[in-house]
Amino acid sequence: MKSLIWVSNKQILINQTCPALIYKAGNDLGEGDIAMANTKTTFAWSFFGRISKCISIIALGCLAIPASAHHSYSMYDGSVYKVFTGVIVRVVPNAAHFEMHFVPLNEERNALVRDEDGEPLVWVVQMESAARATEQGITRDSFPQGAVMSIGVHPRRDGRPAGDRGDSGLFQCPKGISPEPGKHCDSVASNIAFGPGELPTE
Amino acid sequence: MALIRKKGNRIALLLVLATGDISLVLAQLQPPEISGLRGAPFTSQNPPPDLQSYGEGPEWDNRPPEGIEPLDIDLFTSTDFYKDREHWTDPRYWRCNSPRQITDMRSGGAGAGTSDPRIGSNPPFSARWGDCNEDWPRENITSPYAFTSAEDHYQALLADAKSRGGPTHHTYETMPKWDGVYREYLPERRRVWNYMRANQASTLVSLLTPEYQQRMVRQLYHEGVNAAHQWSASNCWPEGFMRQWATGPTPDRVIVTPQVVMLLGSSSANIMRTVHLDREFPLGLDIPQWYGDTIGFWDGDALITHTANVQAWTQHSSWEFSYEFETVEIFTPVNDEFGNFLGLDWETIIYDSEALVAPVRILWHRSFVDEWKTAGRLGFVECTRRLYPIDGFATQVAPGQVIEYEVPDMFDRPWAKIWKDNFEQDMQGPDEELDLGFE
Repeated sequence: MKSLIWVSNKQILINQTCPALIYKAGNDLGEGDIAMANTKTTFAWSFFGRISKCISIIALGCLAIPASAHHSYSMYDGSVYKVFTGVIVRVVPNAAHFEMHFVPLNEERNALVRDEDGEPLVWVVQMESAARATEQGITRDSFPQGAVMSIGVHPRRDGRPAGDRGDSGLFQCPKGISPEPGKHCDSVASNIAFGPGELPTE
Repeated sequence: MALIRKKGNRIALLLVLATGDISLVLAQLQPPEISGLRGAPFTSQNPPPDLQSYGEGPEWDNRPPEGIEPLDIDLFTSTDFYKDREHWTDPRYWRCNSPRQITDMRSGGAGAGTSDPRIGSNPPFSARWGDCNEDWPRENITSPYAFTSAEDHYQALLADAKSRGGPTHHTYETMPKWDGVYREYLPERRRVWNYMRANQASTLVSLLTPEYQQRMVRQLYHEGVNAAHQWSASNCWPEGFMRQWATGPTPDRVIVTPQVVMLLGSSSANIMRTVHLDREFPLGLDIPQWYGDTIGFWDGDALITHTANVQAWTQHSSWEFSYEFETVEIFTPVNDEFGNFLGLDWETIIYDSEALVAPVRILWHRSFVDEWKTAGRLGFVECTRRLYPIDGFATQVAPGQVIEYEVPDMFDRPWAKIWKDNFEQDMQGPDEELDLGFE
């Protein structure tokens, strides 16, 4: 679940929502205070007495750092994934939430999906912060207009063409190559993965 | 070794003092020169005077100055400025106006109206002429230094400082005491060239590459001919890096520490620049920042900085800058003859190989006016939007009123999209249609 911070006696679980915060907390507490137990989410404190300090730092960080989530995700249906292969229109490196705008390809992977007026149907995928995206190599340069990529999306509950990335993998097809009909970029030789994860199952 | 020219002509200064004139005229805007690196003098008065209207009043509507042969077509008669490229660097295409005069054709300047707009009684054809004999020399705008990149310039300044035992590592005890509040130094109300008031528009267009010439012409056309100004503050858009050298959020507060120098300000928006001393790039992830990333060092009491990683943007009535934009900035203290701190000379050399045909330079001065302990508060503003683009014009909308609003692509020059959609249907502008490579 996004933005969840879970505290037990000696562990604090933080998901990817606050990467900058983890960095700050680590710096503040000093080397040795935090041992990374899991590259994704789990950190263990060696001194229980420091936990209250850590909680304070984390709470302040989540409030103060624009890179952390700062609006509700309740509009997205976290129980559902839709998997798309589409063509990048633009990426928007907003500090708070990086966005990818793309037009899905049809099942044959040879044409754009269009709306009822015949215009390309643009989907907007909201991601974590621009800093997090950049750490995964997702930039304007690596995703130029026209790049073909595949991603899973928790869609909006109201059916509008937008969603959030969730924990989906992100794969880019080699330039000039589209997947076979019905398949995605992770099936194409020499695809490029950005960040962890696989394409989810719909 | 580079030669250091001690600034100020003491004899001349004393003469001025003896006659009762103000000494400041000789003190500011003459930073110490290190030949080929910084502080190069100007060939004529800096800051320059504003370009004037050739004649005031309705009788000067569309009336060229004596001896000037108008072009068959100019900005105010053209139906498609894109086709007029051959005339863009001819002052007559602009009726010898500066960019700012074109911007203010229907107003008395930013935030001021006028009962006698220079656009005349039959807009836009009746637009008035400026003085074709006035123009600040282009040679004063282009950089006097041989460098083609900010990195090379900065490294040369650093090497020069090292050759003299630098860079200087100040402590709290030794660091320059610049903390305080500043304002723009305005001798005879003259402003630096980037206010776009001192030059023929054609001269400034000539500083730009073809693509960026087109962008500036497009802006001036829609401001002067259509009155469709897309100023950032009107739309609650970010102001952008170059807005510092105008009347927007200029950094008028300084904090100096041994590790960083902070440049702060707040007016129509906020500005916060941090000079990270004795650091190297990158300072962080490769994400463009609205005010860039800045590193710097002390060379004695001079602060020398390099800024890169700047968000490409625009400045109203002026030229757009690209992601290649970088600066070298040199801040040097100015004292009067009694050793009193007057303020900072601030020399900026701008490198942008995508937008500019040559690097350009701005030298201005910030006058010290107050200490933090006695100054008013430094506010922090948030833009609460009052204007929306309706039919391409910035328009007030009352609460409760429902309007049609197209969401802009903030990182793809939203101002240009507004002009294209509302005013360029019959023009042969650039092909900006979406092409994703699929049907």
